[in-house]
Amino acid sequence: MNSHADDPCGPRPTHDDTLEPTHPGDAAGHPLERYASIVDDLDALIETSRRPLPRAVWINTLLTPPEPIAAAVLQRCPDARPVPGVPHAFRLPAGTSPGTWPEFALGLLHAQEQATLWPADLVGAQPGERVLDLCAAPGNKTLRLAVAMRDSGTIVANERYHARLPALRHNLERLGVTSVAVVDGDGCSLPDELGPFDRALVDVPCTCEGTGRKTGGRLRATSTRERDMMSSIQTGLLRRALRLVRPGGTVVYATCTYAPEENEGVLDRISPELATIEPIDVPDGMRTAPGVPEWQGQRYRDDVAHAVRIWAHHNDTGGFFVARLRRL
Amino acid sequence: MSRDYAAFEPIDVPHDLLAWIEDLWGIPAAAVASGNRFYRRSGRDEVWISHAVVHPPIPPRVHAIGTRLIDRAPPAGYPGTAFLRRYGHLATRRVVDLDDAQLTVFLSGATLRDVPGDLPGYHIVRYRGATVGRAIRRGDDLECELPRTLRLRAPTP
Repeated sequence: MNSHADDPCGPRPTHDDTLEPTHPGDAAGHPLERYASIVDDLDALIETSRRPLPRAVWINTLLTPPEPIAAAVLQRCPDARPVPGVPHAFRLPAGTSPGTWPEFALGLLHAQEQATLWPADLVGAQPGERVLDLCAAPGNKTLRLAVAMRDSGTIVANERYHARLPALRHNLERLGVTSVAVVDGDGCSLPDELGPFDRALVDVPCTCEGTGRKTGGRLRATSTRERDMMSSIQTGLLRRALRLVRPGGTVVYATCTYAPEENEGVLDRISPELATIEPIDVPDGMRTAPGVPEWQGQRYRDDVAHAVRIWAHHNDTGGFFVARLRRL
Repeated sequence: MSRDYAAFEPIDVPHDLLAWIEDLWGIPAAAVASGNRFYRRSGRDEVWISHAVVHPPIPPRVHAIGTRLIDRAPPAGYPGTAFLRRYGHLATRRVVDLDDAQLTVFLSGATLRDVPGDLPGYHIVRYRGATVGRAIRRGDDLECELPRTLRLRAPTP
């Protein structure tokens, strides 16, 4: 028996399990080259991943009607453009600092990476429902859920790591959200008594290949062992969320990485008797790719094709993966 | 009930507290009570307000349910910024509406000078209808009580 035998998520990665950071263009090759067989344009992906990330903001309609704040955004940043499929959200050029705007300080605006806006909305949270955000900090998607629910109902925002709790609570308070209970359990073993929930969001810890643009294109090469450990944790989190929602309930699984081991591979480990993966309607103006049916010789369950991949070069954003499951 | 959950105990609607807030700022008690639940944090005088319902026992530790309404019983305690951001738009007295220049000063944490008013004590500071936070009046000055985490650094000349 190993020391992780009692951990429903299995062994956790440590620093020793990872490789040192690498710069794009190192002699060893770019970390994203491993996806050459599943991305439509590898050169475009790598080139985009080296560029600074555009910013995005959305209006907190809990505290304000959107029109005056939309006007303020366009006044402060004339190059702001609406985000496809996300009402009251704007894309801003890289280098813009919306965190210095008074509207941000007042909680009327929130800044969030564009690629992560729409997936949170896929949860479909409705006013009055009970919704679980299993890996909540720093709270960007929790806030999206609260706005979708008109701050009416119950959101349980769980965050295992205490160091991340202050950011979560700060964001909730800045935006004046009152429907959220913040708890600090291990997402893989949250008790049944916390549920049942109508919906859940499982935005899992991952190897974060899609967020490299936030750090100047710096990408960390990940080891097979790290990806295996991550997928073990991710599977434990997703299974727990599916057990905590009622039959017929919705679970959205999301990562900010490209690795199929952490995306389709995790979905494949969910029993088809427990949940189906639903098709997702992609908003006009947003370019995506379907989940990949196989990777490195492993064939996945057929409905992983309903999952959505957001490659960085498709919309000039970060990278993201999202799937919507329905518990049977 | 687990020891951790006991940190937040559900309580009845604190009518006296809400009436005091209505008397102070004109925020209707009925509007604050509507649809909300109230919790007292054990070992403290804090009262929290939330739409959320969580049922004991809850083994994970609960860090917050909604937002803190007040950190100490009045008159020592006053409702905080998070609560006011949600309900301050309903206030009808002890309200100061800022212009653009005053907002910049207030968000920096500085005192607003020469803002005359008739009523003493704590005021709700708003900008274009949105609540910025709380200030205390001393003569014609309004001292900023915005938490440091919500302040903006003054623009560099």
